[in-house]
Amino acid sequence: MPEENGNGENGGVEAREEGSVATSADRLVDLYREMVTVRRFEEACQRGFRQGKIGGYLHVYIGQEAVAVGFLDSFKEGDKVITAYRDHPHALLLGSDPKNVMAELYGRGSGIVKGKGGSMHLFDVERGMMGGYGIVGGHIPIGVGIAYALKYHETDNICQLYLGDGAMSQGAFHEAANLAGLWGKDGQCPCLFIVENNQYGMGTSVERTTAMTDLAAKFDAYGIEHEKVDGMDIDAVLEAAERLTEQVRETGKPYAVEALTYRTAPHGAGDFFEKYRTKEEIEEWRQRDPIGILEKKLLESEAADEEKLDEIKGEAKEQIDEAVKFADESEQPPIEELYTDVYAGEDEYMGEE
Amino acid sequence: MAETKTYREALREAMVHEMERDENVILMGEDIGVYGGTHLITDGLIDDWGPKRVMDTPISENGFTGAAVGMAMMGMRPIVEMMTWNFSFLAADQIIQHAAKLRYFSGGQVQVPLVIRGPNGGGVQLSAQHTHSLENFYGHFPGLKVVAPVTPNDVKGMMITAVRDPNPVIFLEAGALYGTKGEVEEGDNAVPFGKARVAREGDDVTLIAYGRQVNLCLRVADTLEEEDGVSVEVIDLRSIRPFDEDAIVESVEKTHRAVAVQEQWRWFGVASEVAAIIQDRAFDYLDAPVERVSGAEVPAPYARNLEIAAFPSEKQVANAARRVLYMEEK
Amino acid sequence: MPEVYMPKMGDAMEEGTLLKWLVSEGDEISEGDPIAEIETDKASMEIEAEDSGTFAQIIAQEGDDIPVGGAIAFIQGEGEEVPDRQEGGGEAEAEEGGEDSGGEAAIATAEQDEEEEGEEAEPAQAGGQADGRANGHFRASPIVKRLAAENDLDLSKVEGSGPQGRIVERDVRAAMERGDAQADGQDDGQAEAGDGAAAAEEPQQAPQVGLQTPRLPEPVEGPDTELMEPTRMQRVIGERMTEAKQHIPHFYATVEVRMDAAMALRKQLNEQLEAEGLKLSVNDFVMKSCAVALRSYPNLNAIQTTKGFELHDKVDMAMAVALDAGLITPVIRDITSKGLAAISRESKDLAVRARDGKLQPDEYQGGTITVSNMGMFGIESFTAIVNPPQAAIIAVSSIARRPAYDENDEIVPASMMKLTLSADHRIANGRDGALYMAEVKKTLENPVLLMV
Repeated sequence: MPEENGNGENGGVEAREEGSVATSADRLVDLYREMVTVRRFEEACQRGFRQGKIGGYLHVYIGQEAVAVGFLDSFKEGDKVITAYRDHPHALLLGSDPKNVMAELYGRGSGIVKGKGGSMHLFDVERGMMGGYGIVGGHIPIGVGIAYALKYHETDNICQLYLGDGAMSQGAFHEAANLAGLWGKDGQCPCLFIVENNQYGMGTSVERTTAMTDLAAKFDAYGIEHEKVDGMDIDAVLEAAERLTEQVRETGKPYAVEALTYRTAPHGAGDFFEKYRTKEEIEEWRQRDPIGILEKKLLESEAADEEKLDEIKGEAKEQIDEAVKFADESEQPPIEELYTDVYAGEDEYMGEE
Repeated sequence: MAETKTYREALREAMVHEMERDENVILMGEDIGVYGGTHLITDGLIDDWGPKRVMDTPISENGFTGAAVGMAMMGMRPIVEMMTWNFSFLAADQIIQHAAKLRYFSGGQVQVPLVIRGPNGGGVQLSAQHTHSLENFYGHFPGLKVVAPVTPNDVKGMMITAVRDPNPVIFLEAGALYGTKGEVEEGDNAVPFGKARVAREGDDVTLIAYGRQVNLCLRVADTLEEEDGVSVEVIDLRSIRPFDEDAIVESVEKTHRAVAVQEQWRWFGVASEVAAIIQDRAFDYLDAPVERVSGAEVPAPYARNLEIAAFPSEKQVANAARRVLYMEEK
Repeated sequence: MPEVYMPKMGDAMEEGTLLKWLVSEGDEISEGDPIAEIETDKASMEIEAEDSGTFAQIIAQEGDDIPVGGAIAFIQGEGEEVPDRQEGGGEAEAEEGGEDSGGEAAIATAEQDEEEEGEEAEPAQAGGQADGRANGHFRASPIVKRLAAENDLDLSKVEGSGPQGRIVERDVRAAMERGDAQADGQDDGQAEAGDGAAAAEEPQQAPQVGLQTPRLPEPVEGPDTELMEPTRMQRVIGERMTEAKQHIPHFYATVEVRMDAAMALRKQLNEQLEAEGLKLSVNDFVMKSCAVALRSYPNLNAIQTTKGFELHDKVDMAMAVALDAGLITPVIRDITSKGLAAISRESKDLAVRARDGKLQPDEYQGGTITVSNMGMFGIESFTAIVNPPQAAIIAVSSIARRPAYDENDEIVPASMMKLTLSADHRIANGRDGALYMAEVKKTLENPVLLMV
């Protein structure tokens, strides 16, 4: 495991020893810390949105934490990650400083992309975060191209390509999956498709958007092997992640995994009326909340006691509170930033200032 | 040293030149490899460079253009062929929503050194869905660079510049002119973007065009000189974004009269931008309102006579020039 | 926000009177709507809105005299604000202030005073031309306006050949080559230099000196007197005639013409033209004869320019038309190319519209010679003042039955008419005038020559 992957100070992600067993007590505690930190961050975002500190669209990951935490646990230096707009945890888990991520959401110059992208466009290219993208499905061809380039440059890195259930109805998905399967025949596309199936594309359920609801099986059409995993169970995710990232790394062929999960928060922070699902349904899924499941497991296995868990929660709160404070106190981007980064090279800006 | 080559040969030469220089340069597109390319631009290259450098793609413009964006973000320099630019609408999400904006919304963390090239414009009876002139469409979006070379020398020099540019470049070729010949400089003749070319010098009126309309303007210039004794300057914009405002302004300050010619539709076209720039920066030098000559406001028709009528004619351009000169139309 | 300004409707116009508003504040108006009636030195006419919007603010009141280019109202476009502006306009006040201080400065020597006035007058003139609003009335391309400003040209002197009379670059280039577009300030100076000592001796500010003479009596203002201010038009006529009379060395030549043949021909033609409802007048014959005779005497068909007199091949004949409030001289262009019927139709139309105040500026500007006919008033003879920058004017008196001698020295009744030429001695001499009038007489007495 690369050192920079884990940065306890920054991302709440701690370095781990390679080859450790998925169920080792220490490791589970670390993963618990990550999940709690991500959760805490997202809750702070919702609060910031309600306070009017965060503008635009805001999509949180609450309920789905085990998926990103589990798969990014198998991230190796040089690997790339690309996802859609529910992208906060991916940046945080790759080691981006929550302060800079929160500052981005607050529209500050100290934001991770200088206040130019906001919630949907978190990039941390140095750490392998190739971006969050706002057009459903739009990032999928790009992720496939990234995977191709990793192989073209003769590395043994892979691209973790996260997509939602909704994106699988997009033409871009099908075109990109076809390319991935095609290039994979020659071992030229080390791409792990991770379908975060949270059951709804916005407010429309999978059943109401496709007749063939076995999403993983759709990859059959493109010659891509696939499987499903319980996205609420961190243990199951860890096992699949370790095995599948290695497989893709070795073969250069794409692979797809459908993680069944559930977003217990609304689609967007601005959605107050969830007409498309019942309170009972949400409550039912809360019973399977990944953090709750892991907490129970930790307590039962005596890997941690209540006190320890409270301590971890307290530390997460403290860290995120600091991030919020940092964001709130940061300056807005200088107005000159309006004109930078339009182009690379000499003509950074072609308009009139 | 210069040799006479076709537009097609010059274009291919530029791509090969850059592939030799940088192994990150790859070609990809529909039927560019084994088939040889619909317009034979890449004919034979797969034999020399193999399928990794000259990649045939499935018919999925959005998919392979997006993949090329991803490759470019990773430091590769893909040259994507749109079999014709008409198909680029299928890839518009990748070109406009991703390639053009990625650098900005990533706060400058990535760059997208991508060239998308292919034949643009009409004139060969391809009718409505296969005839577009998209300079204004792509020229509208910050983050893209858009060029439209018309001479064999420029197509080579601008392709070399395009490949080396760290930004997405929309490379609009004069599809009807692949077989036309011209002097082409040997070796590295990189032509900078944002610099128009004075295709012909004159004093009385400036014709401003790009792509194959430049050749039409040159013919009109001959006619006007012979029949009307008018000295015509012809400016080949060749770069739409960045745009060489100075060249236009300098010319109009000299001639005091301007006609902007474009194959595309009149409304919201490049010619309108030319007219706006002139009124903005050379207003006090104008002797007549700037005229625009554009394509007819119809989807491109098939029948030869209709198609000809749908595009600017020499007569229209000559008469527009006569109007700004306050001369009798003919 | 677009300003509505007093338009310059003629070359000599410096100010106009706002006669009547045709719209009220708050009205929604469209480009082209008539918004006011104004009176200039030549005519009264309607001015049209050049912009659409809300007629937001009236600056000039009915009866006000407004300098050319001065704001008279504002049209408010969408989302615009009415500027905070004192009534009467800052410009006018500044001008008055200027005059006052000029008056105080006049305590200094007369020489200085003259210099100052001269200096003041010139920039004001040039400023007027350079000002887009003043010249804006003339349709002119931007490069033309630029050239005019750079070369101190008066665009009102340039005929536009573009659409709707737009002055385009070739027009102004040609005018610059001819040298006949210089703004007045320069015009005077060059004319003086060219005319040598005689012209230079003439006092430049003479008209003002004359009008301002302090020895005028105070008005009686009794029950049997009425104070009458000259109308704007009358004032301008007066000023121009004063200047003409003082600057132009007039000479005169009178002939008596026997009109029997012309009247017989007129009767014969009118019988034929009756069906068309057309009736030729004696004046039509006179004008045509005067024009045709000019062929041999082009120095009487001349315009004084910055570089001397310019002789014209074509005769653009101005005809004086009396109005209640003055007179105006509409022009029949290239009259020698027109037949009597065409001249008759055109002169009647111009006269009617002149009296109705409906002439456009281009219809009463730019004649090369003038004919003034007072025959209808039974005048035996009169002399006219040359209408500058023209070089000659012909006064036409009435036809009277008089005894005359025939070839056999027998006394016979004859229809006689006197014509008097007034001409500018700087371009023509007495002999030219005499020979010309003899030619006119010959033509009128043998009117079939008009048919040639």
